[in-house]
Amino acid sequence: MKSLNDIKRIIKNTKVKPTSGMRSKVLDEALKLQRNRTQHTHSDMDKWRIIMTSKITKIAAAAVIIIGVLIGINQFGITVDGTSKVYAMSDLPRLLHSARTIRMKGMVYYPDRKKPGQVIASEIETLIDLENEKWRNVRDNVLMDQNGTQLSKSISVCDGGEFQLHLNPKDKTASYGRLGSFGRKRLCRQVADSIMQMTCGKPEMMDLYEVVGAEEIDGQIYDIWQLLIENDDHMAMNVKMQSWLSPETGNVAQVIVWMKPDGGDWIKRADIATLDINIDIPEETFYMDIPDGYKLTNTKETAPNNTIGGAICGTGKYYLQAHILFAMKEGSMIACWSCRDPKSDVSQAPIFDDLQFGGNLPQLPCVVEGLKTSFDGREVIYDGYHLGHTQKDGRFYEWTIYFADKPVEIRMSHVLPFELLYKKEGKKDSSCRINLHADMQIDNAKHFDDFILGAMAEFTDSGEKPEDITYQDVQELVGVLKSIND
Amino acid sequence: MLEDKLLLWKFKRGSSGALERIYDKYESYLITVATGLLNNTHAAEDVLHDFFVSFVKSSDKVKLNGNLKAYMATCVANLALNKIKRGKLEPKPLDNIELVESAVFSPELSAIQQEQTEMLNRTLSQLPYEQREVVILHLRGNLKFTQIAKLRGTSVNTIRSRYRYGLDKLRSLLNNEVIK
Repeated sequence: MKSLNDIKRIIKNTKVKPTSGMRSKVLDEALKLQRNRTQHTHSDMDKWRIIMTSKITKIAAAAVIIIGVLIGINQFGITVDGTSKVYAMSDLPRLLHSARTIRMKGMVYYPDRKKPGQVIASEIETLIDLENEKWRNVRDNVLMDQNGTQLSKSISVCDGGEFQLHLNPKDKTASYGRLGSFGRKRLCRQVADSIMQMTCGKPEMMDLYEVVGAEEIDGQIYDIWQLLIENDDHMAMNVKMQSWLSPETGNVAQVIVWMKPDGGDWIKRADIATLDINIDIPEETFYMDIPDGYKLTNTKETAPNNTIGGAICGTGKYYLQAHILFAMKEGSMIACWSCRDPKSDVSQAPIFDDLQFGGNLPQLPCVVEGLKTSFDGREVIYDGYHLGHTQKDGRFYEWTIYFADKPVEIRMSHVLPFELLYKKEGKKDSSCRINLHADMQIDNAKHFDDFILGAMAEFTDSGEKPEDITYQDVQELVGVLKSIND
Repeated sequence: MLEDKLLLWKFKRGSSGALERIYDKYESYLITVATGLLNNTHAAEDVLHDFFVSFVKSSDKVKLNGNLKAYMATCVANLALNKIKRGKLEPKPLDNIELVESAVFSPELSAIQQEQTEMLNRTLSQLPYEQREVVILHLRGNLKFTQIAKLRGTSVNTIRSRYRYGLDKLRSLLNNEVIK
């Protein structure tokens, strides 16, 4: 006699094998139908081409574009009816980001370790041609130890090519650093970001500014905008920034930064006296000539490539390396990491077969499954999903997107360290403590293309950017991950 | 679950790779469900063909609130029912059925299991379609009673009753056959 359980079990465990011709009958036709539908969608583009060859519709299209430009012009201070826009602090990040050239000059004041309460002044100057990715950056390298505070000037110049020249005026030496296309874009962006941070902070901080006064300088009125950050658990010091901004022209006459510890006095830490946007900078500013009396310590052929190194840690048998981390505007993080056994020459290629975009991570000896940081008194864990991989010089690099249900605030993602959470041979391991800071924030498709795909190209033998990963793909993946978590 | 959502997202954007992956992932499951409902391999293949054609044609309209597997099973069940209603389907002996458990048995025991499976499938075809449908969708399709009730526009209690009656009848038919 058959029991009910037997009957259920047999029904449940019965499988039907597809016949040999079924795949061809069913799937091939579906694929063919899908291809035809996709081609039909593309043929809509032909309709656009038809429209644009017709004179009448060309004029109409041009009208739409002109109106768009007028609206765009409005954003730069000229309204359609001719009256002037009033510039506010919230305009400054956009003005800086869209600038063709910028010149910033001022002083930074470091505490004198040997004379408490006293400061040591350091001159800074940056000239940057954002359009052509050229810059000249003058800074002091600062060393603070038991011997006091020592400054040593450092100058770096890039003429828009593949190299950067470093000059050390103290010992009169010069050396080249290899950048490559991505490295140059990245450094150029970092230089521009440092100007932003020095003069107004991060774009997300603009809402914190308020007008506290006004002053006339050389016949022009400037609003004094103030940013005050006090008692913020994420900041080691309290910060006060004041910017003198012309409401009429958007020019900045001066920026002063003060800092104080809790309960202490405000001490001036930076004073930017020059912030010029879209000026003409003489070409020779960016020449990489070796000054007279300087000794060149390497050549372009022997110049090191420090574009993307990354923290490396030995977990016993394996090397786990984190190369770079990006912060996406919506809160997710994208990292490049690798893991290898230095004593093994077995290719890791099979490990990367059949990986899916947004799917599981490659089962390398160590797998960086997540990131961890702390924010607002809570621990924030990000889970990793595979984006893609690259290969260079026989080594494989995994590119992973890390997503948290409640990520840290955008303004903090640059500042906070992110610890790698990894498994070694399938088990959680913490013998290797690697913390990464986000290299930069990715705000839009162009940033994604320039910096993330650019970085991927650096880690590829061909030097080409991958074509199967786009900013839109990543945004939609994040949308899917969010909907799952909602 | 996440993979299915990603696959569907890619499929809706015209990815042939995603369509192939969906097919490969659920081919066996869908043909097992369809064959169980129709007890006819060729008819089951027709239903799968009709489903995937319709799936591709309406790819921009597909909205998934539940899971992809259940969605496909309910579509296949509807197509199977339409096929039943349109014309009489003669149950045909199925020679492509196997019992998953057979791998762990000795060849002798596997042969016995195989015979029992074939007997069960012959008996299943004798059930009224409504009862057979619930038994197959619940046990082979892994659909919940609530999902089947929604599919058929009836109450959960009705579905449970059909399931119970169907299993009882199966046991009765099988045991009579054994006695014979």
